[in-house]
Amino acid sequence: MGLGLALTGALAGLLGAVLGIGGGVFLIPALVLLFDLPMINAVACGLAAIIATSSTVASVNIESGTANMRLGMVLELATVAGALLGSTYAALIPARALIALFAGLLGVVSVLLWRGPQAASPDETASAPAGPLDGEYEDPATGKTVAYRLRRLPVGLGVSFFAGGLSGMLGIGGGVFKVPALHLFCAIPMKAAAATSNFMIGVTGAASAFLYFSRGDMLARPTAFVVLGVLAGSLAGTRLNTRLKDANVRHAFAVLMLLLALQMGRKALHG
Amino acid sequence: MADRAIRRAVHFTLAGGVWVSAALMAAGLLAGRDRLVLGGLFVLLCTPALRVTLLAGDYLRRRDWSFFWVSAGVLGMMAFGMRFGRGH
Repeated sequence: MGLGLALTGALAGLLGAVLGIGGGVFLIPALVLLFDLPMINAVACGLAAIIATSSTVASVNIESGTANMRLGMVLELATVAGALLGSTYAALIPARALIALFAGLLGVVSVLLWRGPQAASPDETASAPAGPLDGEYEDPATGKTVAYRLRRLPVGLGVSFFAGGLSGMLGIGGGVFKVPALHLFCAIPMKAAAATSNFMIGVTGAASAFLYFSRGDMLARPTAFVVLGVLAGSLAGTRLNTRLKDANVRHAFAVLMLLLALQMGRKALHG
Repeated sequence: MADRAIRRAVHFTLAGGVWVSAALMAAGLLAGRDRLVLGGLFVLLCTPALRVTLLAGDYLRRRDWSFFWVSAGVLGMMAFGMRFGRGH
């Protein structure tokens, strides 16, 4: 079983790194459907996995300057509050309801994945940083410095709180909601939005994971196998450095996630 | 500490925390010692908190009070999570 868990973790880490959406959305259904792990233990396992991947990826993004640390810290106030609320209520919600919620979430993610990244907002390079939460970074693809000004912080805080709640309840990173919101509503360039979201995910995950760990919901050996697998998979995925731009492949994964959503929905209905 | 220096310090904290925890978990699994595995998981969970502490210290040193209080608030909520979790 240990090898199977490690391989599942590796696959989730690889897919997460390649698709740029984090591996939790693949990992948790796999743990529930293939290994019959109770939902609460699968969520705890997912949280440990996202801390490992987030810390690994964020360490690179911070050094390169792509992640906006000040903005990330401010948004962490909202995500951590949401995560604490979500992880507290996760222990009180029946397992079937959590599975049904996850199935719904998978459905939404599959639609977002099908649509793909939104077009860049026209003003993303228009302004030099002026406030403490604005930022700039050098884009290695173009060699140019990209500067931006933050807009609509309350929207960013609201979405971060919501994503934190989902993270605490369902063991996912929530980047699939935060990244588009930061980009579309707060005028943060896509790369900085993804890097800043990743920077926050480790802290959000840790806030909830401590609760699961303290309650004894984090099973040591299965979680360790999964985390080691996820680390290996995400490193391999990062080295591949081929964020899938091919729409057909992205659509194939969207269909796969929709199928997982249906399977999880069936499990929620019939146990 | 210059901006580049704090970025490097955060980089090494995060990467170091992950690798120390992975080494502890792998050693625990190989040796069949659950305490090592749990120790590795605990190090992993503490790594982001350590990163927030590092940044809070840097903001304090710069007397950047707004961001010091923001990071202290995040740390406080994480500590609340640990304490609240034990109560269950």
